[in-house]
Amino acid sequence: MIEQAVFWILSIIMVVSALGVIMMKSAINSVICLLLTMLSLAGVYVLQGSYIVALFQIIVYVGAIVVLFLFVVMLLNIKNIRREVAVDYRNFIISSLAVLTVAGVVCILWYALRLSMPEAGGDIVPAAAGVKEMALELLNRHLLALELVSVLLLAGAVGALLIGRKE
Amino acid sequence: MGIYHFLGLAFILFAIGAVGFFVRNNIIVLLLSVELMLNAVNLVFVSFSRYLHGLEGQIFVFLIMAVAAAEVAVGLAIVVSIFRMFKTLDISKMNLLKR
Repeated sequence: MIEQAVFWILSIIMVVSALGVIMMKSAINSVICLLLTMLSLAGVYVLQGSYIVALFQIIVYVGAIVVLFLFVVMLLNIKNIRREVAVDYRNFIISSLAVLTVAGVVCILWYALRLSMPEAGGDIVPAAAGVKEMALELLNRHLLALELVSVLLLAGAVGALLIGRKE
Repeated sequence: MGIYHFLGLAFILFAIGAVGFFVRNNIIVLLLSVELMLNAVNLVFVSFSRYLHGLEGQIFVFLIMAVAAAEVAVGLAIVVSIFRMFKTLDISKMNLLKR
């Protein structure tokens, strides 16, 4: 009962703040709304019982990515830029067509999911997957993917330095 | 709580991210919409990982988070470089390939 109440509160916060991300006029308000979305998503992960993913969600997204966005928004001096409207009304027909397409694709996906999973109703039990199981899985079976991702991170850091430096 | 609650939430989050990507023309908000879509995918992975009692979904979520961090680093470097070049963040003003 209390789980359902927490879920609905978190999902309402998440959807409203995600709408705020795409509808706020200034970029810094969008970044703050993204912060709220990430925090409520971490709450949903805790509700599902996947605590480690929630921990890394807060560490990586809130601690690194959103802070990086904030740095860039504050670094660029956007005061003297024309404050454009939130939604591009010039291409209003194309925009509404895009919205309709996305809504249709989501409805079709939902219907296909309902068709392909007839044995619905299994609850998500909060059985804890600890750090030990995750680490063993990550370092035994998925070691190659882990090393490749570390190489990708190194390449991303070097590429960001190379692109962002002043000539 | 069934799996459909979490999947519906993830679909709504993905739809909001996709609509923001198509509608807005501020390049930072475009990157934020990409982050929203990646997070919706993460939520689907974790939900199915909990539903099927496996750990692979959560492993994939870690890898997706690392790729998203690299993507944001490179993307924001490109945004800073574009802002130096065009003095704007409006992507409808960036028509270097069109002219």
